[in-house]
Amino acid sequence: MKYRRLLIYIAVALAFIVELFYLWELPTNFELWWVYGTFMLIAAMIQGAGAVMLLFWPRLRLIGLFLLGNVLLIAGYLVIRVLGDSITLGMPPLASEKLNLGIVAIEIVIIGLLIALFRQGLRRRRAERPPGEGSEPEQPRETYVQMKPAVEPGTSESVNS
Amino acid sequence: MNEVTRRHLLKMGLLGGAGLVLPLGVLQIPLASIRETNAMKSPPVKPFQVPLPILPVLQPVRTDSTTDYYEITQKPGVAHILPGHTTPIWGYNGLFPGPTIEARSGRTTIVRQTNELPVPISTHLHGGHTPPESDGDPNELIWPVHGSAVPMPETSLALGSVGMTVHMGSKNYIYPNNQRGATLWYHDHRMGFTGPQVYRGLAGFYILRDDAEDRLPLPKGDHEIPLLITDRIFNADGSFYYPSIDSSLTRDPGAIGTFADGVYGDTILVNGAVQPFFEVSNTKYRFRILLATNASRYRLRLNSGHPFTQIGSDGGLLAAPVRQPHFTMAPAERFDTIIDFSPYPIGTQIVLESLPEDLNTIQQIMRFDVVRKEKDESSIPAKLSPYEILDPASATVTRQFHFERSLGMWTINGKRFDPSRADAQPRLNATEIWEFTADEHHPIHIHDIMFQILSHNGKPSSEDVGMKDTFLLNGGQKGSIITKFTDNPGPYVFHCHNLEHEDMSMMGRFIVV
Repeated sequence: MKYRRLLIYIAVALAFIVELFYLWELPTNFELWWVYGTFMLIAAMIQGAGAVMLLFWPRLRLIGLFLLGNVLLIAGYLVIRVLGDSITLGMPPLASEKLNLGIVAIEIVIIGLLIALFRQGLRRRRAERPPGEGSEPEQPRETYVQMKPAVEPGTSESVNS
Repeated sequence: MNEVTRRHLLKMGLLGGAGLVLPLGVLQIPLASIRETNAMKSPPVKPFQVPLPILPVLQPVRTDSTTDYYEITQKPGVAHILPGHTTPIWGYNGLFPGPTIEARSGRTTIVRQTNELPVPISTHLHGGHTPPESDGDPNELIWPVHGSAVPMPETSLALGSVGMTVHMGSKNYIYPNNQRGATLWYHDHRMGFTGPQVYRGLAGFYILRDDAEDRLPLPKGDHEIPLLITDRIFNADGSFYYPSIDSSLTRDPGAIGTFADGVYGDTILVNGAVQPFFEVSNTKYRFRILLATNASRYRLRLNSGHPFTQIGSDGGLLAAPVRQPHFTMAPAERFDTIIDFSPYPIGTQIVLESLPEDLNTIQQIMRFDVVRKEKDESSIPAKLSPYEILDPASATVTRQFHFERSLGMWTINGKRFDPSRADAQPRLNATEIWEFTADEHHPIHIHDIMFQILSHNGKPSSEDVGMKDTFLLNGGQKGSIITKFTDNPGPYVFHCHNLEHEDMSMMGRFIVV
């Protein structure tokens, strides 16, 4: 449990750092084009809300959503900075600053932490699941039958139907 | 039923704060900035209070049998534009507008440009038939003598930072002047920052004269006046207001909010003075008018109702004069005209004004005061300077270019500028037709060549006459031009001359092969 809490705290701290970065970039990008600015706004919201939820409600589904959000942010970044917008505008990749690359590195670390938390959560859920439930194939069990003594003649017992 | 505890409220408060309140709070910063920018207005100035400045002519530092040599230092300076204020500018030799270079057709001009500004520069001779290495390509930069905060060679948004050439401190621009006499101009052309750098003052006339023009009895000497018309927004302290995303001009190109459509000034300047007056005699005057605005179009007319006599266009004299009751000018276009003041009695005041185009009301540009009588020895000949009319049948290639806004950027054929991509490769000596369409008004400028307008939403108008280097298409219009690519193989650019559109990547590369 201590290890799990440590992972959560690190992910939360990093997510807040990334949120602050997006908020710092937001004004310039919004002035450049409102779509860029809106992207930064949504990215900041994902990081901020995700960090708080991870801190207080680290449920499997929320971790999964936060993970998905970070993967989408990274994918967007890679398309713009590495591949360029060759489909719509034929533009070359944008130059990458060290700070931008640093933030991407942090987001990759967050994704790694979230994957670890997600897998851990899955394992724990399976472990806590009552026997007979879930998708895992049932293992053959040994059956123990308690042999009752035969009813002796002249005695009686109730019979449940 | 879960009870709402203080702990629970705290958690929800943190969630709302980090996920909603903080981001939306930060969003107010750019929104406030955009609101403030859009509401910006210059201090009011009473028109016709100052005389028209006559622009100084730059003297060569030396000449020889074939060449005139000039030296220009681009540096900060101070202009006195608004009464009681000084305006910091960036200028050629610290002047706004820059000094006029007078060159002769057939003689080479070499201009050594030295950069004492804090940012990189590139100087383009607009209308010049110039080898590519002296054209002033936006990616061929002169780095500041004193260093710069601009990261070299790429910037964060780096619109077209691929393939930059950097000259340290200064560079010689060689202009062979193997073209007709014409009213050209030189201005800054730095990739992504042309708008703010021209706005700060980096523009000047380059008048190319030839023998054919000299032989004509047109008004000359102090009756031949270059007029550089532009507009600016001023801060209350008299400084220029330009809505840059990055006012240091070191990092992010572009203008804030609606100014990405173009920076339209609210104060009109002629030769650097606010709505000046000019005292004239009752004779003919030749005015070489350059519209050096960043974005505004003007529709010029005289309030007296008299027409202009147009004698020239971007690429020099027309074949014959044309009477124009009014004349629409787009950024970078030149209108060479004669105004005859002989019908006016002494004491008459005639206002050059602009009919509503980009501005909602009639704007007064300058005033001519007829103050003295004089004998007029000039005349306007019926024939001016013939030039070769290109035959559309001789064109071997037709190309199409659509100028439009796409995904927040200004594009040509849906693409942002990429200097490493050739959008056209005309062959040397080939004649080509280029067809343009526009989503809104775009003054389309092609480097190196002059062209003739073949169609402009049908037949060309009377304003489309002559040799041109800039072609204004209004929104939804289409037009075509014909041109010949002679004797200068290499890379050039063509672009929208709304400087904010240009800075936001509405530019293409063509390579003459």
